[in-house]
Amino acid sequence: MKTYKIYLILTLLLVAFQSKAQFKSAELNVSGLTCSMCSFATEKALRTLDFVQDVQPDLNSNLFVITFKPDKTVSIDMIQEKVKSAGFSVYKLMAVYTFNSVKISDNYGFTYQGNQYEFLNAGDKTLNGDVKLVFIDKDYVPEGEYKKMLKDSHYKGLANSGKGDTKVYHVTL
Amino acid sequence: MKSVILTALCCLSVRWAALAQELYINTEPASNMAARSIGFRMNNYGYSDDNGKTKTIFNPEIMYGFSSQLMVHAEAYIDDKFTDGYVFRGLGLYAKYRFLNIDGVHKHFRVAAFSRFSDAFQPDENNEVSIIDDYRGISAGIIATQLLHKLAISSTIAYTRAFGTANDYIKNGDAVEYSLSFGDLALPRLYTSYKQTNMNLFFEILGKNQWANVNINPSTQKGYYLDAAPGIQFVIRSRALIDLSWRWQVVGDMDRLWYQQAFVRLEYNIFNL
Repeated sequence: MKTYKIYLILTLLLVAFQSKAQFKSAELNVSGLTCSMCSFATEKALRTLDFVQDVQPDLNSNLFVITFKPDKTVSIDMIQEKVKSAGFSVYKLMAVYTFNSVKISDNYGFTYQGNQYEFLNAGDKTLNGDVKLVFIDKDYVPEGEYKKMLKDSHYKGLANSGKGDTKVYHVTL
Repeated sequence: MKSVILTALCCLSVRWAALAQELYINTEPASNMAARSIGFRMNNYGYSDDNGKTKTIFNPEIMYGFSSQLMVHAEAYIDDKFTDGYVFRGLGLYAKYRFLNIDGVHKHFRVAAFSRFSDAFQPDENNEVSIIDDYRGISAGIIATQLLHKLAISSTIAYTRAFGTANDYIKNGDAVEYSLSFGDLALPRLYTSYKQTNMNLFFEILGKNQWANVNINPSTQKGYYLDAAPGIQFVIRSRALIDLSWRWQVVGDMDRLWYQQAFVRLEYNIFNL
C-alpha cells in the first residue's frame, strides 16, 4: 500500500511537472530533401540533440514530428542548425508550447529559459494550454517569404534581435 | 549531332521522372554529404584491353563531411592495367565546397567548387590526361546541380593538369573535362520507410578535350572524346548503395585504353558520428 501511495505521489508530481510552461513537440518541414538518404541523415542529426525524445518522419512530405523530453531545455536554434549541418534548410517550424494563462500582444510574448519569444501579427489574446507557435525568423522560413515579411508593417518587430545574451525569437499563431 | 542527342536524352529523362535523384554514378553532385558523416566506397572499373584481356581498377574511397559546405574524399588506386598482377598506382585527395544553396520544398539549386590532387607511384602508358588512377596532377572545377520539376540535372566543368615522368607516356598535359548528368528515382513511387529500397536511373554524358605533351617523339597531341554512361542504382536501408554503369565512347579521336567500360560501386554511409 505504501509503495502504491509513493507511486501515486510520484506520478502526480510528474504530471504537474509536465504541465509547466514548456515546449512539448514540433512539426518541422525541411526543404531541399530529395531522397530517403537525405531524410535519414537529417533525422540522425536531429536525434543527436539531448532534448529530443523522438523523431517521426513523413518521407513523402519532408515533415518531421519531433517530441521533446519534458525535463530538458529545448533549443529551437539547435534544431535549425542540425538541419543546416545535414545540408538542408528549414521550410517551416511549428512548435507546441504549453501556456498557463499568458497574455500576449504584438511585440510582446513570454520568456523561456532566458530567451524571449515575441509575437508578431497575432493580436491581443490570453493563451492557455497547448498552442502551436510558428517561427518566422530568418532561416525558419524560405528566404523569399522572409523578405516579404520584412516589408510588411505587421512584422516590423522582426528587426529586434535582442540585447546581450538574450535571444529574441519571433513567432506567430 | 550532339544537340540532337542531348535533346533526346532530356525528353527521355522527363518521361522517366518520378522523383529526382542526384547521387550520380560517374560524377559528383553539387550537394554534399551531411556534416560529421562518413562514407566508404569501393569503386571497380573493368574493361578488355587490346589483347582481349580483362583489366580491373580498384578504387577504394573514404568520404567525410566536415560541415554542410565542405566534404573531402581520400582515395587509393590499384589496377592491373599495364601489368599481369595488381599494382598500387597512387593516391588521391578530393575536396568539394558548396558555396551556393537555394532550397525549395521539392527543388533546389546548388553550386560547388572542387579540387583533386593525386600522386602516382607507377609508370603509366595511358594516352589520356587523367589524374584518377593515372598520372600525378591537379584538377579544379565547378559543379551546378538543379532539381526542377522532379528531374535532377547536374553539370560539371573542370580543368586538369597532369605531370608524368620520363618513364611515362605523357610528360605533362592539360585537359578540359565536362559532363551533363540526369537522374531519376524510379522506385518507390511512395515512401513509407527508410528500409524501402530505392531504385534510381541515370544517364550521364562525359566529355574531355586534351593537349598532351608526350615523351616519345616530343610533340603535343590533341584529342577529345564524348562518352555516354547510363546507370542504375539501388539505395538500401537509406545508407548503402549499389551502383552499376556501362560507359562507352560516342565520338572521339583519341587512342584510349578502352572504348567501353563496366563500373560497379559499393557504398556505405554512417551519418552523424
